[in-house]
Amino acid sequence: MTLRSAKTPFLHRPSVVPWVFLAPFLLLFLTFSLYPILNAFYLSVSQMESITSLPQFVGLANYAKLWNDPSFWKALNNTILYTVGVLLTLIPIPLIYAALLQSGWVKGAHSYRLILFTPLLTSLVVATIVFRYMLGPEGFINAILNFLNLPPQRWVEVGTYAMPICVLIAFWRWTGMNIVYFQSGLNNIPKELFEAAALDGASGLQSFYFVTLPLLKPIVIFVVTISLIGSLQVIVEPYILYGAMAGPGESALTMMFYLYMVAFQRLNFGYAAAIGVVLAILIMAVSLVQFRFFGFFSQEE
Amino acid sequence: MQEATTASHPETNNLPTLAGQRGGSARRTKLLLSAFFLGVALIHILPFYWMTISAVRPPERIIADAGNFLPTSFTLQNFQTLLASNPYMQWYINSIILAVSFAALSVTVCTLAGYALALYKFRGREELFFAVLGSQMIPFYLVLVPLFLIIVRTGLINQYIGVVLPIVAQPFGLFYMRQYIRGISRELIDAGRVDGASEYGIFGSIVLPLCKPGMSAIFILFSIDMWNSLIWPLIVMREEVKFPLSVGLAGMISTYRSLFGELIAGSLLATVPMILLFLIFQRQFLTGMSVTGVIVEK
Repeated sequence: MTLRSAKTPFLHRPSVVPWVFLAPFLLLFLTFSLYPILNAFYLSVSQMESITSLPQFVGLANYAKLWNDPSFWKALNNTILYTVGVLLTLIPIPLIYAALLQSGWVKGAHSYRLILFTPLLTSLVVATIVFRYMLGPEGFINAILNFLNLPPQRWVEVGTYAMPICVLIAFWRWTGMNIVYFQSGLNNIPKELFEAAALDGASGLQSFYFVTLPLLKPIVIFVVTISLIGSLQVIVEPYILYGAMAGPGESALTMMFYLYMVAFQRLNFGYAAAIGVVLAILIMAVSLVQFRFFGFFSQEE
Repeated sequence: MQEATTASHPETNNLPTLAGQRGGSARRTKLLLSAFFLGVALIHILPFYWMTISAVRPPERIIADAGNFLPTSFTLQNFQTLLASNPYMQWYINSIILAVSFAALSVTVCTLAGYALALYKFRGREELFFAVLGSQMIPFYLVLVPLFLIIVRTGLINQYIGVVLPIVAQPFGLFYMRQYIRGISRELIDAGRVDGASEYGIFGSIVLPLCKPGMSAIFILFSIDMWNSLIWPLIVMREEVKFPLSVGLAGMISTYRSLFGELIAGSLLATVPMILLFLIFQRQFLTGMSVTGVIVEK
């Protein structure tokens, strides 16, 4: 090998070849991922007068300001509210749906899976537009309430329903996807276990509780983690529903939304970077917990 | 990878306990469950249905017929105003340009790098792989501000390439292609070597053709990602004629005219390519998505 490599042209040397293949990815990765990540931490302890000016080091001033910023706490509060709402709906319900669809008790289970998946074909923007108008005067929700002799609600105009509506949109779009995840977990459970449970006299519910759930634990943890990571970054739904000012009393303000406002409406880049760092730490903490429970790299084996 | 478990597989009866129950009650349970899922499915389709009947209603009937689920009238008026008063076709073209160029570039770059990580042993390989993979844990939004500053300083603002280039190196794509190429038989590659093919020749004539299914799965996934993304193109694109559909539609909401008919027509048209892709590539769709676990809403 070494003898040959001395004669071969540079680009064909065994030590060079892998780097040629890696070069495009690595160059882009270093420029647009690694450098910006490091830069984000630096910006978060700096202040910039304008887009073109150099960042001035201000220590932890941005973080101190964040601590005393009611908007930030409001955004954190809304984000957590949304995340909890998503976890409470998008884990148990799709899990039960998946188990029922798998049980063979439902005729045409495969078509139901496909139908429940279709909402994911709409973009978040489109889905939110549709929900915004379904709940407005153009939509049927208030018409139904009217028909039932219930008072119509100003769903989107008042801030009260901001996070519940966002959860509803997430639920509509993601139920089918989570069914797919849980179903792939269910398929991996050996059939014999259910037969054994049945021989022991377990009912359908009992075998679900004692056989299915424990064996689904890894996939449940996985779905919980990706839901958490996704939910903590919610921005598109509140932005489309409530516009650039985040609705009455910042009722639709989320962490990402606040970052966006601070950076691109107020052009306060250092402060925005600090919000980004806090959000990133939150998300990485979640990822690391998943790593402990589930093992991020376990797919390797 | 564990692909077989997802999309089109036959119904598997995992719960044989039903056999133990008496016939009558089992039939009733089945009937109830089927009815239940029919209801759930109808509720999930309802927004699509409502979107479609509203889009073909004349604007003056929309509020009056809000509670009517029947297709009361048919007109293409909303589509005509949509096309006449917004650069909608241009947005559509922009979306296609962004989605295709992003997916093509990303798949190319990730396949090349995935090949190197899968088949060559070199110093620093493992460290590199885990560093890239680890960066996947860092949310895109952390780099939003730094990326924006780079784009402004390099003059890539308001350019297609400014949207695409910064997100081409996708750790997930690299991971996926590395796994995929690892699954290719080493004998084929060694045979190529014995035949005297160069390393690049082996990649081009042996590995690349075998990678096509994997590459098309992430191509579809990435193009959907781009098609649906809002925030990043919203930040980079400054002129209305450069907007992709998502940004254009979002902008229509914040104008003062009452645009319901146009917006709903535009939303419907924007969803058509996704539905077509889904109908054609159902399998890749479901496997691609379930393997990734992450559809990042950028």
